[in-house]
Amino acid sequence: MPAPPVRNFCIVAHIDHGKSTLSDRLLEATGTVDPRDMSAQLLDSMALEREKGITIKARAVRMQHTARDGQQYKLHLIDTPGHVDFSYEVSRSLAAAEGALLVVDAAEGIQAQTLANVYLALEQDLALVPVINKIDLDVARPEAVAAELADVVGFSHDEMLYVSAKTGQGIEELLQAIVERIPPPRGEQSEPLRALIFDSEYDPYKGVIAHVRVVDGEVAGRAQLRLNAADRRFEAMEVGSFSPGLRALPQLTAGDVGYVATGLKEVGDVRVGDTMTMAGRQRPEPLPGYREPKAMVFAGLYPANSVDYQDLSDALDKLRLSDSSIIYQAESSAALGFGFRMGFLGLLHMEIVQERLEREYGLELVFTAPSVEYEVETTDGGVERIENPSLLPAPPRIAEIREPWVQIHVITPQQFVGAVMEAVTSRRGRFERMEYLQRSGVSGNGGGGDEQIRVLLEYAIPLSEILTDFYDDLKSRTHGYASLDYTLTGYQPAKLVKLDLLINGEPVDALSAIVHADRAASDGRRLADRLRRLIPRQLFDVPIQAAVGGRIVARETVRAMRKNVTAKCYGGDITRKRKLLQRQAEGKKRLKRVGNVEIPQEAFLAVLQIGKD
Amino acid sequence: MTDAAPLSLYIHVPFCTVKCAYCDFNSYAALEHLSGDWLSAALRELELWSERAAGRLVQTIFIGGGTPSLLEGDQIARLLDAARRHFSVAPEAEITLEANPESVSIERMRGYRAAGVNRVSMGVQSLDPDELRFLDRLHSAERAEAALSEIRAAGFENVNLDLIYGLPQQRFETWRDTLERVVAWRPEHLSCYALTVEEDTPLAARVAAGAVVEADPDVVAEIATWTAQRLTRAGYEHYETSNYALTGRQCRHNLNYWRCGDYIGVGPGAHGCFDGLRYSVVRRPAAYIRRLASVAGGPNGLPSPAIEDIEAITEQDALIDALTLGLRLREGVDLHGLQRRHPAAFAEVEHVIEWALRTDLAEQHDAQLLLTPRGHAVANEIFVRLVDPSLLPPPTTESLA
Repeated sequence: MPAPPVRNFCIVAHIDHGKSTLSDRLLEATGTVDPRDMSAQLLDSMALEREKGITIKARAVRMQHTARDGQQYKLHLIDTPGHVDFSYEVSRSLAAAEGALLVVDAAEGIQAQTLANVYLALEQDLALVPVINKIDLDVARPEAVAAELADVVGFSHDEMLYVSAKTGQGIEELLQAIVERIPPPRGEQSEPLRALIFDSEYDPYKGVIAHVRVVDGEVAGRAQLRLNAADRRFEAMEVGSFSPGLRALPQLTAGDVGYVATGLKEVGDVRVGDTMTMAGRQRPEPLPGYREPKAMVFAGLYPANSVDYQDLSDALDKLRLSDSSIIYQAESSAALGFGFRMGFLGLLHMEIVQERLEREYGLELVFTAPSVEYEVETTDGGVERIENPSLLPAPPRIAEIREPWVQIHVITPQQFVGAVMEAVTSRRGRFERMEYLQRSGVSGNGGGGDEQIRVLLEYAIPLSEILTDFYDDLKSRTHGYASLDYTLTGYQPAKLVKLDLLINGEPVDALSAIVHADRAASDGRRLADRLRRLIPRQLFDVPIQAAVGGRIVARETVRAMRKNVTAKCYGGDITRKRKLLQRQAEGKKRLKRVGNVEIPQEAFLAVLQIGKD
Repeated sequence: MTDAAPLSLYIHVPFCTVKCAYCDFNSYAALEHLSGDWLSAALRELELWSERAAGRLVQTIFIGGGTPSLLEGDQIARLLDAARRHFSVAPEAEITLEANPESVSIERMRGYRAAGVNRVSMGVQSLDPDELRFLDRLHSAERAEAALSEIRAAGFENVNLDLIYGLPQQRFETWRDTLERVVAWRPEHLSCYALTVEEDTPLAARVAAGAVVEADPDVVAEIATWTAQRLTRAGYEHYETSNYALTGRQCRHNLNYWRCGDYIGVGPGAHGCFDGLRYSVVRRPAAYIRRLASVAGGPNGLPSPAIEDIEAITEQDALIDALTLGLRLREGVDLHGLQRRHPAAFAEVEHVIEWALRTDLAEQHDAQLLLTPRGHAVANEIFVRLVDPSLLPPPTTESLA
């Protein structure tokens, strides 16, 4: 009996546009998961993922579906991470499939990140199936969204599928479309093995489990295998499919999606985008598109209490098992003691890592404000890469500083174009392009006319300028309508200087920032003022100074506290009085002591707010 | 024969007409129907302590609340008679009763006086109508003044008035007006408390909701400084953080708390400190009444079955309590005595004391350690470091030089 035909597909969707609910419905409709075992949104298994409504790790699942022609199909759904920070991971998931469902919320329309992923899918020559979801909503305007999709991506109106993942409406038609419109995998079973790794996870018994798409050949348990870029050999402990849990199979063949248990202990060896082949002498051409993970954003990470350094170090080692994209190395700060400098794929990635460390490992942490990686050309002709602002060489040694620039794509209703423009230009951004997404001017049923017309704006902007509050600012200027996507474009020289902060006369390295020379004085004033409000009053006056190149540009003072005494004696309840003092002592312990000054953790993030008010 | 160590007796009356928004004491509105059962239970609890307290001379009795002045003179008489029957009460003992202006009458006050009460502590809080309303007080400034006249007319020559400052949006002027009028009445004793927003009170909820903004700490500090100067000029001694007295009129009952003396607490939610144990009595009046109906003894050999929590005072706790209570007093603490009694615990905090001396928060006269005015104002900064000496970095070489 011939093996059933295969369809491999991804879902491309914006956060909250219903990707997880749709996946759940497909699992149910194909009988892959019994509805009784269905916990909502099965694929997002991390608590944080469910909370944030995003997928952090890609996942894959095999479904069996009998189509209208009576033929049984193997459908492989490859989940994609739902954020721009993970665009490389997304591109690898897409590369593992022949088609993608483009899921768009019927009320909100297409968003910048979705569009970015559509472009990625088109680059890979994937068959796209447009799915307009949430048509059950009162505010749904499916015709308008269909018109937008037709304009922007070039779909015909006949291609659109109208679905409610919530009620199940349109799911059968969707399954049929997957079978009919997504081409079967190409690839030769008779060729030597080539499998694309699109994700990995760590299992204490099976080692690193590689999530793979077999492109050519086949792989079975006990096979001697090799990872091309990592240059590692190993014996496969087991191969199988996700159904949705791990299910061992005799082999995976060309076109299949599944897993290979490697027995390897280092997640860093099993890299997304790498090619898995047989370990023999014959070395087939690796699959295209492998890239080393590139950290874009850096921050210092310190235990709030220095005795927890070892716990933090252990937690990072463990975290790396489930997130191989983080990088870290030990560093020390005069102000904060021993800690780590960490690199992240982007801002959301940083936020997720911070939350996981605090939540899953119960650590109290101090994060310094995020920084980008600067290229500093020194006067002796060398080039240094600086991720920690306090390590910027002294001005006489600097020939040129270059900073990373990104191209940003913003999609917004047209009436906010001016507001977006202002947000970008005030951050040194340059306008590049504007495109109307809905030239045909079809209005939906949710109130029509101009406010439904949306535009795509493209700008070039220094990455450092969008690190902190840019996205929040964009959201507030557009009443929450704007969506944002960015891609790194390269480095450009800039007039940058180091802004130092002195507290009680002592420079605090963890508060240093690299800022644009024209704004250094005003940034310094704002930062000093913010610190004045964040640092609690102490027993003595605490001067706060901002300095650029040794010149003081701002000075504030935290006035000495005048009163801190419990008024009454609580009717002889001495135990309570003692416990109150013990609690105050606990609170004080969470402050970082810099010299004689006790500084709360939030103060180290004050640099984040540098551009605000 | 009686033991020289003084003993105090606290009796808690848990009833109030209304519960004030800022109050976190163990008091209840609309429970007066339990007052008869409460009295029987309290009488029984006093009796149960009799044997255990034998040989100890009771120097002070404090009937606090709640609002003890809701009780009639004969009820107070039964309480004090029982106290005298079951304890050795010194003839010159200080016997205080707490009162609220709206429940004061000359007849009741005469009854209290006849029962043996010789000191009245009245919660005036403020004379500003808006402030009184904010504090949920039932009385007016006029009522407070009249109540004081009635207390005086009943023969009381030792009266304390409680005042509160540092209310939200506190203006210096309203406080000054209140204090000037009260000083003119010449009470023997004044307690001036800065308002504390206590957890789980309606006031705390209002602050958390942003409906009420706490007073500017600088304004509160100004008021505290001015108050101390004003009352000192008026002849009052600032003998404790929040307390002022004319000569010889310090509250002996509270002094015993601050000097870590023993005290027996009776009544729901009362606290006691006896024979190296700190304990508290069950808070709910109904539970209190029920427990005292049982024949069981109390935990850890203590006589009252209504006693709930017990804590043995460790060496370290004893020292911390002695310092954090004693340093609230102008007289301060005897360092040599403390070092002798708790040598190991003392060694732990010695560098904190040295730091307080070095930074002029404290001063030492012979063996007596006392806080400077600045030290009194920020006393909790010293106390948290005594509680957790690791908060204070070891002295730098610079400061040792």
